Parts: sequence; structure tokens; C-alpha cells
Amino acid sequence: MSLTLKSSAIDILVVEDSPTQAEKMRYLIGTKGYNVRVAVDGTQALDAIKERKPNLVLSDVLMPEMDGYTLCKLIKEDENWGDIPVILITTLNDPKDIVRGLECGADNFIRKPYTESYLLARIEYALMNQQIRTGKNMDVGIVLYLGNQKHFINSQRQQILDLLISTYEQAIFVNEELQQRERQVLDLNMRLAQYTSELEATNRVIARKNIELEHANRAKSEFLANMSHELRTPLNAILGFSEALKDGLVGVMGDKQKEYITDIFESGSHLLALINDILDLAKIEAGRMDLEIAPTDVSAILESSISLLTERAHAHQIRLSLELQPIDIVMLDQRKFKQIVFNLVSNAIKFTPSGGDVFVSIGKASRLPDSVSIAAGFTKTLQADNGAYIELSVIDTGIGMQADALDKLFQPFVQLDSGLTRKFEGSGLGLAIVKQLVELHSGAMEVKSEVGCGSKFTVFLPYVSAIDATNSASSLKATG
Amino acid sequence: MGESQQAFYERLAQVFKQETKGRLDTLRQLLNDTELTESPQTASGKLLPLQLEVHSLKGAARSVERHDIEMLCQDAETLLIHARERESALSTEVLLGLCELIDYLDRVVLQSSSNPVDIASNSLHLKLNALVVASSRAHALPGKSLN
Repeated sequence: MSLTLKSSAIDILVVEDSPTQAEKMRYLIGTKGYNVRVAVDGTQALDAIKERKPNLVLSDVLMPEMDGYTLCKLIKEDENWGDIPVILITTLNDPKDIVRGLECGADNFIRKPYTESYLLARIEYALMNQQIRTGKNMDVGIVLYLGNQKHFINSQRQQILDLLISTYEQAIFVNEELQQRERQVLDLNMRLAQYTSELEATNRVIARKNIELEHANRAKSEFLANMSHELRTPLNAILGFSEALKDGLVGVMGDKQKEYITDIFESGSHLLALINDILDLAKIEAGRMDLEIAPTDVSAILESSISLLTERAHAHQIRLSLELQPIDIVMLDQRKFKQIVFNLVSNAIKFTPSGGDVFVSIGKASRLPDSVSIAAGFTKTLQADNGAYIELSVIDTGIGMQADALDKLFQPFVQLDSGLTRKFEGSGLGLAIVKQLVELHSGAMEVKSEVGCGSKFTVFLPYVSAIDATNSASSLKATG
Repeated sequence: MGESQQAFYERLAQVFKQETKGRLDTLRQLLNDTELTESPQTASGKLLPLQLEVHSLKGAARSVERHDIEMLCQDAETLLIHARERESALSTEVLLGLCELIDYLDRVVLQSSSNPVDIASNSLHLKLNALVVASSRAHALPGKSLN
């Protein structure tokens, strides 16, 4: 099919209030060689038609001031313009749109969104129909009812057929689009199912790896525990004999020999402390560390520990002081409590410069501070009386720590500044062990520190009075 | 010589930017005029100009293949159509959703600060879509006819 008129002689009036859409249509239609004019609303369109009668009007429906239906009706009612084909561009999402189109005498519909080729084909079709249409205006005067409203259709038969066929074409097109979308949805669903199954498989692998990791970690801890034991046995012989030699039990030694044997003994002692720490940590991590809960005089333990450490503090010109508040005999693991005190106070002495202070205090706290919480994951070994806790504080005027370093503080083998490792001898296990021992008691720890000013370590252990514990045990025994 | 396709699309992008700026200004003005305290009938009468602006913006976005914006405008247009057909004023949630849409379009079109489809667009679409679903339920209440 071809048009008898040259494209450049064909004048198309586009009525569109959106400059972007109008420009796109002007460009598209212009590529076919048609002359295109643009009007931004119905009123301007009528002026443009008065100026020069176009061969075709292509109009949007929803526009401010005057909509496309009104414009079309005015064109069709004019005796000079009635033969101008009018194509309406609409979403066609309401059956009333078709009736409104018929009422106003529109020749064709283009449904939004449209493809470029479809738009151009519709224009060509409408222009061709106009040329071959020979029929005179014959008012058919059909009355149509839709949605309880009466509509009077005054369009020509050919016009009605064109409009209905174009609507039907749109319906087929929309249906094809829907089928395509349905296929896309199916495809996406299948892909989703595949991703879900892959995700589930990955989760299973991760779960299996986690179990393997847990086993490997336990095996490592068991290995460490065994190795530490194996190391300790020969070391005891080294320490025993070097001490005997140092003390002159096997004869008198020269000064040089005495100096060397003292070095052997001190190095051995340090190695033993290190192995003991590793052994403790490995035992805790392997779940093999059991608490031996017994009535404990914490004040007495504290006094004896401090007295043992006073000599070390004085050697570094550090003042070590203790403040005790009266505390009942409580239920704790004595050896572990002693280790907590020893590690914390040793640590404070180690990181406090000469002339500094280390202050230790113990008392009863009626409850945990809000800033402190009990770690999850530990079986509750002790249940505090009325939520009360033993509060043990160790304050030093040492080097202190940056706030962001506190997270790493309780990790095993970590000394926050690697430079400190050389300056302050130690395994880096002391605080890690303290934390584990505290948590094993269902307790908690808090650290406050300021660089250059010092640190405060506070340990909270459940306060379980030995008297109450004994009474409840007796009553259990009596009722049992 | 005619304009090359690339040159045309570059020019069209500028036309779209200009159109968006104008429509966002109008939308802001219209929303400012739509007082929440107005009676539903008075307020709903002011919704048609809002709907026409959003509708045109939707078509403009489609012309430059900004389907993310087209989708968001479609959501907003549906909300406005429902409110108009119910002859009710805009709810606070819808009003806030429209303000958010205007801010988003200002950011992505006028300031070009985002990719065509980004997380913010999806999140806004989900929000508007939830409002559309709620509005559709209210729309389907007995006595509320589409006609």
C-alpha cells in the first residue's frame, strides 16, 4: 500500500502538552518525511488548524484546558474540518474510552505505551483510509448504553469499523504482551527457585563447615592441653634441679656458675607460667575446665595475693594498696578466684611506670551496672543472691589504652601495642584467662581506660552467701 | 542535513530535564495549595491538575526510557485517580509519598545524582505501591464504583 501524496506534502498536527513527548513524536514522524506541527493543547490546536488545515491530527487525550475528546468533537463538527482523520492516543484502560472516541468521531486509537513502528503504521493507515474513503457523511445515529449512561454515536460506518478494528488490534497486542510477561514471570520464578536451592545448598555446606571447624577447634585445644602437660613434666625436672643447684644443695658454686643457674631457673619459671596459662586457656576452650565451688573467704585470698605481689610492686617503686569491705564467706572456686586476682594485679603492676599506684578494692554490689551484661553461651554455674555481685576493682595509674583497643583486649596472645611486647614481658594470655574464668562463674567484666592516665578493671562475680547455700543444701537434704 | 539520532536523544534528554523542572515546581505549588484541613470535596477538586501533571511526567519519562520514573509516576497517578473517584482529600501518607517522589525526581533528574534504577527508586516504588494496594482496597469497598 502506498500513499498517492508525497510525504513532505502531508501535514500532521501533533497535539501534546508534554514537550518531551511532543518532540519525540515530531522526530519519529519527521523521519518518514511528513511535515509535523505541534500544539500544546486543544485551543492552540484549533488555531493551528485555522491557520492551515492538516492532513491528520494526532492528539493526546488527557491534557489541561481542553482534552482530546473535546478537540476531536470540535474538529468533526466543523463542516470544513470534519474529514480530517483524528487519531487519539490514550491508555485505553476503560471501556468508556472507546465509546467516548466513537462519540467524538475519532478515526483511530493508539494505545499507550506504543512502539514506534506501530505509531507510524497507524498514521499511514489513517492517511490512506482518508484518501480512499469515498462515502458521504451518512449519519447512522446509533444509541449505545454503557455503565447506565446513554451515548449517541454519530460517526460514519467506516470510521466506526476502523476504530473498533484498531481497538481489537490493541487488545491482541496487549494480550501478546501479557503472555510475554507471564513467560518472564515463569522464567523468573524458575530462576528464583534455582537460586533458593543453591542458597540452601550453600547454607548446608556452611553448617557442615561450622561443625568441622568446631571439631577442629576442640581438637586443637585438646592437643594444646596434652602438649602443655607433656612439656611441663621435663620442665619440672629442669626447675627442680636448677633450684637445688642455685640453693647450693649439691655443692658450692662459683659466682659465674650461680649467675647462670639462676638464669636457667628464672627462664624455666617463666616458661612454666606460660605453659600453665596455655594449659588453662586450652582447658577452658575445650570445655574441660570445671569449677570447684566451695565456701571461700575472698578477703583472705585477696590479702594473701596482695602480700605475694607487694614485693614485685615495690621492686618497680609502685605503691600497691588494698581496700576491703566486709564480705561474707561466699561460694566460689578458690583457685580460680586467686588466679583472677593474681592476673589482674600482675597486669596492673606490669603496665604501671615506676612511682605509680595500683589500688585494689572489693565489695558487694546490689546489682550489675547497666553498662555490664552477662555473656551468653555459658551455663549458669552460679545464681546471684537477689541479683547481688562481688565487685572486685583493680585501678592503676599506668599507660592506659585507646577506646578502640578495648575490643582486642581479651583476645588470647594479644598485647595491644607490639612495641609493648618487648618492653613488658608476658604471654598475652592473662586477661583472656581472667575473662574466661569470670564468665565461667556466670560473672562479667568491665574495663575503663584513658591513655596516659591508667585503667580500671572491674570484675563482677555472683554473690552467693555460703551460709544460705549451706542452709538450702540442708533443707534439700531434709526434704529429700 | 537532518539531526542525527544521537544528537536528537541528547537534545531530548535536555527537554525532559526542563519539562521535569517545570512540572516539579507546579506539583510543589499544587501540593502546597492542597491543605489537609480542607473539606474532602474541595480538596478532591484540586486533584485533577495534580493528576494531569503526574500523567504528563509519566509519558515524558517513557519517551526518554526512564522506566523507573515512569513506574513511580504510575503509582502516584493511580493514588490520585483513586482519591478523585472517592471524592476524598489526600491522606497524610499519600501526601508524604508524593512529596518524597518530588524530592526523589529532583535528585535523580535535576541533579543527576543516581543511576536510572537504584535502591532508592525501588524502595520508593515499594512504599507507593503499598499505598496503592491500601487505596485499592478502600476503592473496592461496597458502594464505591469505578463508574
